[in-house]
Amino acid sequence: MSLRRIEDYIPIVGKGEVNSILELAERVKGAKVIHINATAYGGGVAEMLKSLVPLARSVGLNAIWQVLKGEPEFFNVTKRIHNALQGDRSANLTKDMEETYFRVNKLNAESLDLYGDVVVIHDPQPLPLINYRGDGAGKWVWRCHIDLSDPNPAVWSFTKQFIEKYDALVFSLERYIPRDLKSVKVFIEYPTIDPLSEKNIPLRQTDILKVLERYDVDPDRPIIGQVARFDPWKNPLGVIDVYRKVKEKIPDVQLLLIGSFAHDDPEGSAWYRKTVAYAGNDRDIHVLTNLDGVMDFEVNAFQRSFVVALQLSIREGFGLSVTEALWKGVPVVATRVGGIPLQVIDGVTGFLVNSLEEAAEKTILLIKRPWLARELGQYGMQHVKLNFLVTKGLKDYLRMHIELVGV
Amino acid sequence: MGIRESAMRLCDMISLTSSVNWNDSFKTALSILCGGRGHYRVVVTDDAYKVRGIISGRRALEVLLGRRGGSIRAKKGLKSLLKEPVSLFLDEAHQLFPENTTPQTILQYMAENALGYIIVVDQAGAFKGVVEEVAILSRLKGKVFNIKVEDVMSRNICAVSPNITVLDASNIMLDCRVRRLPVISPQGIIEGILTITDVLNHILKQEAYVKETLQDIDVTSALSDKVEDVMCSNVITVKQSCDVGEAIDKVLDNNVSGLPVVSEDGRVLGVVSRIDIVEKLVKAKGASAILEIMVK
Repeated sequence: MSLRRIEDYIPIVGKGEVNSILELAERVKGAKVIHINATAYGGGVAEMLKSLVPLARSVGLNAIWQVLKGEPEFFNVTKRIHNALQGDRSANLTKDMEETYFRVNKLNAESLDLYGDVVVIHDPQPLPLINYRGDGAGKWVWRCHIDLSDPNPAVWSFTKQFIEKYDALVFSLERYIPRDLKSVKVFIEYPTIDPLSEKNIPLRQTDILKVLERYDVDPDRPIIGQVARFDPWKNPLGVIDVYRKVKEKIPDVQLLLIGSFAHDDPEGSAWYRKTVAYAGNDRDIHVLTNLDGVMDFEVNAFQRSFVVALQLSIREGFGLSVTEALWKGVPVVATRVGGIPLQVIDGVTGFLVNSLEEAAEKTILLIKRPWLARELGQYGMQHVKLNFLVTKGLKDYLRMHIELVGV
Repeated sequence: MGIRESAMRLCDMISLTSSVNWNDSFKTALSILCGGRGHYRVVVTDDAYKVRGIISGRRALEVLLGRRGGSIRAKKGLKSLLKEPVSLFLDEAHQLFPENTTPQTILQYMAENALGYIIVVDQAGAFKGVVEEVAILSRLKGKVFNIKVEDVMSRNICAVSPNITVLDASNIMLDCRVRRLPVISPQGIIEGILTITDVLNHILKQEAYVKETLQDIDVTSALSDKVEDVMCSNVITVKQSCDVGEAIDKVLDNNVSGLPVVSEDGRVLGVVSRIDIVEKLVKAKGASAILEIMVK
């Protein structure tokens, strides 16, 4: 993890904001905070922790990040739980699946450090670790990054038995909180992006061109793209459909589909293959992953080369890829799901669409009117700066710690 | 900044709501929220008047009931907790907009995300004011929309009986994340309405309770009264078949944040809030059409 100081953010957010962070941090200085999630890379959670943990350390917390270990069978089960909690009614659990879920968490409990002043468990994969909380151990928090507003009832009832044991819960949006959770301490923390991370720092035009050249993408022709896991919820095949419709009107358009294979996402490779097969032999579709060497720096360069960023998800937690694109001054054409409408303001920072046809229409509009794309992009950047940068996330995070263990 | 223009200006929609400095005590914010002037939220700013967050009535109630501020309260007591800076309890403001934003953008954003307010800042990030749903509705008074109340109301309601304690009702409001509870008889007939503001006022209005609060006595004892003794019995309701315009007029004339929707025989069918009205009207008619009606 990179070493970053909170003072580095003064040029972006101002001294007042940084001072307010330092004042809050004073009340929880030295607190040992353990974060546990299921993957070190790929997806929004790892992305957030990569920034939040070093920043928390830089303001005096003893923040530690540990990653759950498990075999593919375990991650098949947890992906099923993930899908069910996001509303998939067909994704039920068998007794064997439940046993795998318990067994792997028990094994991890033996090797992970679970003794912090605050232990923050991210998402459903490590949820049962609460069963191994020792006597006199600190406060346990479950940080839910997904939409639990309409979960599969059977799987929700199974996971709720663990959730109710936590001292506090954190959701990304208020409407994601299940209605039957009572008498629980709930915090709302909007996901945020780090403007100084390798994925978001400003790049020189020459660096962007070098990356495009390396991956055989033509910088002189319009580029559209989606950055997301290969996952049915992210609708990569729909993105290809939109690209094909756009290509009928703008033949030289190119599509980039960029994702990464996270440890905890067993569907990733199957959906990657499905996406590649669906793209066929079209040389203007580039499906790229971390296995092709596309890491944070390259994602940054690709996003900055987009004329339009697409986010055509069917379900979405918050949609940090949208935040990243807007921060880079790129307008976003996206579906009206999850936290996307908080970021994409229709006709102002991009377009919200109800169908793939509409997505294609708006994408064509923006490619044909670069001045409009520029204006929407600039407003998008300002919207992110005012509302969704990591310094705000850090303050939410510090307040939660003050609430649990502060003085 | 924005793409579309309209005759309505943002400054026509902004209200200069109360704000506190982030080093002010939590009690200062509480006194504004309970001051009987109808404030449900207070903007928190720093010395440079930059927006640092929001304190809502719900957060105030959470702190008074011990559902927030737990660690500090356990170590220092409630009296000290009330003297702590408001910056410890606020919610980060994630709906800041620059002052050159168009009214259409603001309206659209509030409707799309079912938000009751957005905060307007100048180029340096200093607080300029708040656009609240009530400011929008006040310009829609006396209009007819040809949309029925039943098409905008929330049917999923939390309601309570009049003989439970205010404490229990408060916890229900916090758990259900609502600002108001219809109080109904066993037959489902509306008898009153209890809001978070009613509860906060009830705590602070009675001097004895204020003293107790400051003497570290459990505030919950102040909430042992029955709901029927604290609720507003003179309930303003609206019929499901009425036009939304009638609901808007009732909300504004009576300065309430929402109305129970009742059948002919007085049974509660739903609740319609100011946010529900703005959200559904904009979705049904479009932000530009609503703005046009606002300037007529």
